[in-house]
Amino acid sequence: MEKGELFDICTYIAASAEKLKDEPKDYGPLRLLEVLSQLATLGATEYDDSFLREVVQRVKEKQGLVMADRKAFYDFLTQLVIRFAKEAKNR
Amino acid sequence: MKSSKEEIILEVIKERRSIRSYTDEKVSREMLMTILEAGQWAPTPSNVQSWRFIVVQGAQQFRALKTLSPGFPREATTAIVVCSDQRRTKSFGETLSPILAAEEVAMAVQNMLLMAHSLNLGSCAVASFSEAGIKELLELPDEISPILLVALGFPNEHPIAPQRKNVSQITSWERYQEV
Repeated sequence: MEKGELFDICTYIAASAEKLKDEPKDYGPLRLLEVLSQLATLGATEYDDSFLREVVQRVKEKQGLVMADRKAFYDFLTQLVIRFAKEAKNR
Repeated sequence: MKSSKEEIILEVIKERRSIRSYTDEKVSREMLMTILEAGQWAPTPSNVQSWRFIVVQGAQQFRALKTLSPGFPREATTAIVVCSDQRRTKSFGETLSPILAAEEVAMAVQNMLLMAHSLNLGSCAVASFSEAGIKELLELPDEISPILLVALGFPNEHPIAPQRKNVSQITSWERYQEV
């Protein structure tokens, strides 16, 4: 990860923290998914990590559900954590 | 019987979607000028024209704007920061002034989004940004407040329209009625 990339993510987190106090509660998971996606993108490139690459793709496909289908969005969050837990057993 | 003008306008309104995935292609200055002109011709109470538009496309400034704006689509290539000049709205008084500013900006932004769509661009109105952060980044004077951001670029997705209520579900005639 380059210094500038780390700085950008830190700035994004700071701006999100400030803004989220006034926003709908579902924007919290959405912002965390965005940070996850940014970190996973960097990790996938730096370590040629296929799991993180898959995570980036899945987040991109599913994060829009927060607007369209809240239950499906929550299900996705659960499935994502389960996917991480399965992966953790093999690391 | 609808005229062709009505049909075209309704088609553009109904087809427009909030776009969150974009290609790398840059938006030309000519397109931007057309979009800005559409915004400038929005309704404005007492012709107050409190809008200020700031276009951000340069790599470093744009990157910083995106990190300060959590709701901004990461792949968009251009931002228009739509601001209101409080010096122009203050004659409406403390209570009305911020309402008027929001109304004016909202109407200008809708015009911009529709024009962007008619130019085959994708767009997204973004309210989730750090006002303090954007003010500092763009060196806005105290009297100039950023109200909405418009993300622009060439679309890389064509979202399906979400369900809308039927007009009859939200409309009553002559006096309010629960529908």
